[in-house]
Amino acid sequence: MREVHMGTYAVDKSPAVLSAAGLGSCIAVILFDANKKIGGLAHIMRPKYEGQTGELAKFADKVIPAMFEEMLKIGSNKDDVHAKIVGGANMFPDTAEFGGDVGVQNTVAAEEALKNLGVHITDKDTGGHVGKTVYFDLSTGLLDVRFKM
Amino acid sequence: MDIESLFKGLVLERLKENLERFFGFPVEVNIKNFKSEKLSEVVHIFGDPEEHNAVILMRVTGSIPGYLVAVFPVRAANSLVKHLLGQTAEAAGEWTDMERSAIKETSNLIAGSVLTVLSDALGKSLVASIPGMTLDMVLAAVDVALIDIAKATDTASILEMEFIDHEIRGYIFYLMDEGSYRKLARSIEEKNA
Repeated sequence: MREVHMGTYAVDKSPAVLSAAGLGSCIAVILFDANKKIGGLAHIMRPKYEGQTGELAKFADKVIPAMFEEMLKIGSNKDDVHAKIVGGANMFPDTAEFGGDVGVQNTVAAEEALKNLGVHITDKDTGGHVGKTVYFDLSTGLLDVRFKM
Repeated sequence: MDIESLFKGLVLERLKENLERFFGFPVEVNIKNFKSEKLSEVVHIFGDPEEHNAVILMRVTGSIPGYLVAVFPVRAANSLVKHLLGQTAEAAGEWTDMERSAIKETSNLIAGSVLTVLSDALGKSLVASIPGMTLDMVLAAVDVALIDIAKATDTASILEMEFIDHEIRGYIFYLMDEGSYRKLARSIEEKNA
């Protein structure tokens, strides 16, 4: 299993499981080509790059096209790639101090980036007030989302 | 004096004193960790990513902005409630408003202890926000703070303290971005000069 930490991404081929732990306002964007069984997972922190120095993989608008390109390079057909999005919660809905909408902004930015690439979203589990951990199995295409019951 | 020795000395001393007065019994307080870590690696600092804890988040505003996070394992949070209110908490996650207030109040006391010492020692104003509380994965709860830090940097400076009694145990994280870390170090240097 490959753990994809905050602000990073990974692309792999089956057999492999990609995971992202402890998603709060962060989002996981999973791209999957079910024919070639090639997939990628990005653990995104912020919606848009605004000229900051540092890692670009933490920004939705930068990492999603980069991950998509990397999948094409190792054999994916762009018309076969679909997306799943998880996370983007507001963990402190009762406290205005932390009740910002960065989770929503992350989700909107990811959807926009996917739309620009022509990638269809097949599964979406965003918003809410609980943390989530995701496991994506590239051999089956199954996404396991775990959270507090 | 440097950052770590300031925390190991004056901050822990005040924290211990205030917690013991609040609880009415002795507690041990320690610095567990102090490191600057890439945001992509902080997952390891917050323990088992899937374990659920009571997490209280406070924003620190003023000259050296950052975040304070208090983490109580569920059993310890229940013991805390029992000790402070003399009642057994309901099942985890079903704390009453009063029980949640007791947990938040302990966090306020911790924040007050830490920030008062830093403010006095450095001559800087530091204020904690109203605490936000959740029962969830620590990483999921603090990611909103890390997302804020990620606005300008890829590194967070994280100081972890713990307090331990035989039943009550808590972890306190002070999170800063690189800018705040440098300001804190510079303020200490100025005081030393």
